[in-house]
Amino acid sequence: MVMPEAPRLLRFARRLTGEMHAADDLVQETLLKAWRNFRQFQEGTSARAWCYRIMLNTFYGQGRKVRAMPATVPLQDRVLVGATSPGIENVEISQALDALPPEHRTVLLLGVVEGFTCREVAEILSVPIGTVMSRLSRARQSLREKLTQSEKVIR
Amino acid sequence: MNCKDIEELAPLYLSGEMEEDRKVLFHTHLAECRSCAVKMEQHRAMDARLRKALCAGLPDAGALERSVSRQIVRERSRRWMLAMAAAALLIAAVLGYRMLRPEKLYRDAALDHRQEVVEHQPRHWRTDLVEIEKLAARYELADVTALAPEGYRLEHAKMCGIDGQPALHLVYTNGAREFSVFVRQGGDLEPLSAHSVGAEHLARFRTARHEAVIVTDGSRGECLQFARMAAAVL
Repeated sequence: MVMPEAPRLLRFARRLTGEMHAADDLVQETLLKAWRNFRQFQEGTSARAWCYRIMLNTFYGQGRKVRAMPATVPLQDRVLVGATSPGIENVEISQALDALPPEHRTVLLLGVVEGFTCREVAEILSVPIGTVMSRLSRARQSLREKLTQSEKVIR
Repeated sequence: MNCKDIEELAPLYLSGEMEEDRKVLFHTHLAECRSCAVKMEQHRAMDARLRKALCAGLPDAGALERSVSRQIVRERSRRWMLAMAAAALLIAAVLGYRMLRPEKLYRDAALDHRQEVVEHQPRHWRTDLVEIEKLAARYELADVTALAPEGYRLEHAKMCGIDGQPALHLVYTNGAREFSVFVRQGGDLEPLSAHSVGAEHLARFRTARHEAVIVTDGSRGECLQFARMAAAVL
């Protein structure tokens, strides 16, 4: 039931850990925990959101501090000399995202990139929905400001 | 709805979670407020840029899925083995208990006979036949005197506990030799069997209503003979 989520979880884990092998290990542990604790899953709730919650708990439960995102830009996002403008655009966005505080980056990744609703993000992060909404507003505002600054520098 | 409400509720609107009646008010404000409408468009555009930049294709998780599946198969097999081992242990424990249980019964009966009958340690014995028959009635024993073989008489009786269960302890004597008969509720039929604990010889049998253990410090033959007669009466 949770196995089809593996590619999306892997994409998120790569953003979270910034390392390919660490991301593989994190997803593997997440899927195994989901299988082992399937009885704890509540019918009627989102299995996908449950998996992301397990992943975040596992990641932060391993003693990792919430940190400024390290080089989280996947290889395919990195721009090469002479690359086309979409490649540059991707790098700019990745860098702007990486510069956000972790709690802002996480809500943007979950709510915008992974497509979870505010209610689901609140469940995943175990915070009130109001907190998710205010973090999303501030994160959108900060990201736009960073992208605007970045565009000014390029010009 | 004012501009502050729009700013606060924007995440619900953009994620599609806003209720219809609220959405109408939201749209009405956007139609009237140029500043909020522009902000909302900027949010939408930035979300789209973010998705376009980060959602370009999903990574291949095939190897990872196969690895997890193999791990699950291994864990299932380990759980099955553990369940089987636990079941085997339980069966062994039950069988062991059943095998050892009679041993305790014989040890208790032999010890009671040794201490209370042979060594005459003080106990509160009932000697009055009427009182003994009242005790015997609890075990549906109609005639306690009939259990005595020829030349023996009922000397005294009392309630006791053997192998953790209450039993009626009857003592028969011919003046020189004494026999203890322990009677308790029976159940499944079980033929006569002979045992010995220390210097005591014991015989045990079960009828539909009674379980009896006969103990003597005399010979094994005498013990079996007494038991056969008692079995015929019970």
